[in-house]
Amino acid sequence: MKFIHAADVHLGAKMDSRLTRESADQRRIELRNTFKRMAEFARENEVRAILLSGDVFDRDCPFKKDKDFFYSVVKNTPEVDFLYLKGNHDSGVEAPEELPENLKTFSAEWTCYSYEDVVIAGIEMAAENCLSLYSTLRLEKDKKNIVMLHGTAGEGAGKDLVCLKKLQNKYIDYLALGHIHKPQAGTLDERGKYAYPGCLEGRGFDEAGEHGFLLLDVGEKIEETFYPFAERKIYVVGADVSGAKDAYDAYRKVKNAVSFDKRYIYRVELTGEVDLEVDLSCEDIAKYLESDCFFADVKDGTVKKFDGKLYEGDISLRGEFVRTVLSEDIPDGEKCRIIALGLKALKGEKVEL
Amino acid sequence: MKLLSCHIENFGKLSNEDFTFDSDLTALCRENGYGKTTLASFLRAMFYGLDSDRANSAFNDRRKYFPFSGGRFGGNLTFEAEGAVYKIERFFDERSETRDSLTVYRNGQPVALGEVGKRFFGIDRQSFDRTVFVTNADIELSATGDIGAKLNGFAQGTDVGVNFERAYASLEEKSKEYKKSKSGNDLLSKREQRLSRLSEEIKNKETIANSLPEKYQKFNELKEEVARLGEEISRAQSKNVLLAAWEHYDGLKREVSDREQELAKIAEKYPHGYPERGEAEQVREFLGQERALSAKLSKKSFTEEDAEKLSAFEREFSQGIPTEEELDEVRGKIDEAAKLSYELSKTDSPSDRELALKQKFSTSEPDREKRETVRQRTEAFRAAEKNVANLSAGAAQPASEPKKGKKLFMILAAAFLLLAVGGIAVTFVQTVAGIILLGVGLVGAIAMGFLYLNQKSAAGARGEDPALSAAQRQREAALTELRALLVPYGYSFERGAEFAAASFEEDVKEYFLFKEREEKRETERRESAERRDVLLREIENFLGRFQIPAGEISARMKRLTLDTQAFRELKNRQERSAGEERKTEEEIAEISEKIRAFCEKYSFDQGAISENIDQICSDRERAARLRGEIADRAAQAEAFRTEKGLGERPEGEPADLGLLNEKLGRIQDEKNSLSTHIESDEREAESLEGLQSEYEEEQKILAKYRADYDLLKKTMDCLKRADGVLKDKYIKPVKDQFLYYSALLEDALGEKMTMAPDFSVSFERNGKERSDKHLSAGLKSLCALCFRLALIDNMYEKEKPFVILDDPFVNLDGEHLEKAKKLLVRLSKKMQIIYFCCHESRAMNETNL
Repeated sequence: MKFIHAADVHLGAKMDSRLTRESADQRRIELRNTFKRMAEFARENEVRAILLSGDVFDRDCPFKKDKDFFYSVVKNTPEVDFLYLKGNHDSGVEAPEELPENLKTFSAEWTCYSYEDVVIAGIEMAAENCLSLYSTLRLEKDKKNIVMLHGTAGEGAGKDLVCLKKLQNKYIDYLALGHIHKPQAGTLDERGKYAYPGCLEGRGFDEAGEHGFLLLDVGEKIEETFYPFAERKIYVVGADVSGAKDAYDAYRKVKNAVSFDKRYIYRVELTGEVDLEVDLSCEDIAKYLESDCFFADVKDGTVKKFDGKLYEGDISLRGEFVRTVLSEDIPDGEKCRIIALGLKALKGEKVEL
Repeated sequence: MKLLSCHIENFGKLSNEDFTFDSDLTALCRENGYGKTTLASFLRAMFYGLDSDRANSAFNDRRKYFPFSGGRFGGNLTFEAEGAVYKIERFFDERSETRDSLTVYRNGQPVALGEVGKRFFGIDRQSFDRTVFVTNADIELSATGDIGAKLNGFAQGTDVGVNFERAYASLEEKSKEYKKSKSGNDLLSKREQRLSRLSEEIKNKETIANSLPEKYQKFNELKEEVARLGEEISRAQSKNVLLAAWEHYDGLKREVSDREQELAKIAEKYPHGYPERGEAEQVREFLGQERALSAKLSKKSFTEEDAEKLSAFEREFSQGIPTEEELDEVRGKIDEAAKLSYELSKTDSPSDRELALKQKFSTSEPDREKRETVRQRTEAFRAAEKNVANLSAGAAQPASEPKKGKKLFMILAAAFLLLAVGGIAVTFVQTVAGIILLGVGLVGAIAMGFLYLNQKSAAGARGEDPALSAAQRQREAALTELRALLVPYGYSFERGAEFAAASFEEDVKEYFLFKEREEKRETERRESAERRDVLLREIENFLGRFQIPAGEISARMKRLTLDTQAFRELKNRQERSAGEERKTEEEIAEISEKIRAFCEKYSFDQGAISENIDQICSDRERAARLRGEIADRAAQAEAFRTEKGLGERPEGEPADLGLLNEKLGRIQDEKNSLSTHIESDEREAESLEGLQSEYEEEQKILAKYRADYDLLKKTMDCLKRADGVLKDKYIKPVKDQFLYYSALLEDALGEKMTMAPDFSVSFERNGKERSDKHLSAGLKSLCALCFRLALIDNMYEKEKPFVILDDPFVNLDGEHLEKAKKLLVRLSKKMQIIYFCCHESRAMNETNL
């Protein structure tokens, strides 16, 4: 028997602020589309149920269109059950009066659903039950037990905190968690394990990496496999642009350093040393990268090459200027920029920032 | 640097002039208009060239000094510098700088130095004018950018490119892109405005987003209301359906009751029961038959008129009615007689040809004998004619000879006539010869005429042949006989005797054929007339047997035929009519009996049965139908009740579904409208995130711009302070030198002078700081000279340049002038001075120029 363990879909979520309005709109549509594709994948692969471990919606009062979309997908996939556990983002979401038959929900009490010898238990964590939920969990030893929770796994217990220790030796075979947006897994006890599938689609550079869901194959044991399923991947990459003379030169160096995919989103962090007077416009480099990927954000982390000693014996205005700037009580980076600007002006070159 | 000499090819009014310069002081005092300023300008032009003279440019040196007398515009200048001897050779175009030529020689070898002035003095032309080129007009005390740069560069010892003003202006210009003092058209203002707009927009969208939960709640309420109303409508519909079913059931029951009442009413009219259906129908049929037979009886088919007609016909046919065969036979005869009459009425008119032949031969018809005589005479004529032809052919041979003789006569006669005519002509010249010739000609011509006539008569005598004459006479005789036979019939011999005879023969044949045909026709006509008359008599005899009025036979025959037919028909009708009346009377009696029995059985009034029979039938049918309908409706009612499960009748009136549906529609509309609003608001709320992102980005940009602006300001501040430090460091020597030179002028500039970093000079008077603008023109010119000398001292440490003074002391009084002259003499020990003036009072001891 197969199950899908997914979480943190965050329908209607805000996209990274750096994305253009059009790109952000497209990403929101893609987020919905990925959820729909997951439902289709489940039907085509005879998955019995999709376990949604919290935060299907991004807010307590989701947009009507997101709710309509979610219930429409559920209704139109009658072959698959959707086990929807609310998380901290969507705890206040009101369910419709008439739930689709294949939509199973949870509450502040432990609720169990059985699929042959597999029992799926879940509880929606709240301030009132976050401590007591561990003692009220009752599972049968002979069953294959899956427990759904939404919170950060750790030592402590509390709201949005899942205490792994307190869940040990409760015959849990698989602890299906949600809340952490990066896929991760660990051992719960001798019998069981826990796993986060991460979010379905990354929304910003803090959610870089692979995203998708976990496919659980329940036989003698429960075997989980991570399925990268996101429409787009988000990467944070570094590129050494030492010696770049200008933004285009830096772009060429970035292109040589990073293998771009037109479908994906990149943050490029520039590193290395450049001349004091070289101005690397991150906006310009990002523009140059537009045709190489879906979206690029460029951060300038380069270091300016500057040796103040060279000007110590310079009795000209240049030397006087450098000495004046160096004597100022301002950060070194700022000093470098002022010196670069002033020297450029003194050379008679056009001043650009 | 020392100027050695110059050669002016052409420059303004100076042409082909050579000047040499002393190493210390070269003074040149000449009256106005000599060309001192021209020489000074030449020296400057050798170093710095001349600006192009464009159409729109002001009156400049190139135009001013262009030699209108012609020749090359320019010359050369030789000077010492950097331990070498240089020669600048420069010639100018009339207008364009680009067409000028410049060659610089170093120790006699051409060298490429670029801009010569800049190369040797390190300053531009404007700075040159303000340092080494002093005129009475140039009394401004300030340093140009190049001078400042030169001073700084001098301090550095190498780089001349560094320029504080340009660098500062460049930074300031950039900073103004970020922030201007007044207008809001700068980057920071624009970003701030944009942020403000975005903030406003975000607030609006937030209001929309915040209103969404309320709208969701309202939407859910409406959704519930729609569901509740739906249920209410459903219930009302059920009740209405039940009430409608009961109504239908009641209707059926009512129909049963109505029909029962109607049936009872009909039954009252038939105490002995209803007649059987066939019985009543049969009586109605009998009544109809009775009426029809009575009508038939009352209507006689053989009328009085018919009887009168029959009587008249009986009189007409008192001798018997003709049979059809008789009538056919008579009709045949009438037709035949009519045909014969028609044939007889036709007359065949003879043709023109017949008439002509009849007329020709009617008086004397040619008999056989006569026709034979004509044939014989024709043969005789033909033979005689042939004979004459044969004989005439034999006598024709010698007749050609006289033709030749005739020609000869004609030629000779013509010759003599010509001779006679010639004689007449000659008579006008020589009368005698003319007359002779005329005479000979006339005699010859007359002789020829005479000879011709003789010859002709002789030929006539030679033609007489006795056989031919006999043959001709026979022919004539035969012809005469033929004429005698044929001319009486009108034949002409113009086309020959044989033709006339042949025509006669042909005509006679045709005439007898016509005659034979005419006789035959006449016989046939006579026989037809006889037959017709026989037929007419037989017809008259037949028709005479009947009383038919007189008239045409065919009309009388037609009348007889019609009368015969009408008589027979009338007779037949008379017989048929009598039989039918008897039969009808019997039938009426039989039917009346049956009707009477029926009325008696059901106690119906026989007298009124005829009027009532339809009602009886109808009542009977209606009663039967009513019974059926009562049973049917009663069954329907029960079946309907069972089918609809009608138990208890619901109370109250049917619900007004229209009202409920209208309300539902209204709420649904409201719900749909709200849904549309929610969709729209959600879009707005979604775009809020974009706007917030935009706002954040704008804030970042604004922060960056502010940081950039601060950076620029800090850079400008640092640069300004650095420049101030530098100037403080280097202005002092300039100031010291300035005060040194002014001290040389003793008290002339005894005021307390100060010099600002931009080299502007001020002095203290009566406890107040005053600018050089408060100095008199004369003192100002001295100040300017001192300032320039001070600048030169500081700008050119290794090698001092020459100084050109173009009558700078015009405004000085005598006392100051003398001091100035002394100063010049002293200065000339340090640097080369070239002094021009135009008045003796300002003259120095001239050197050789």
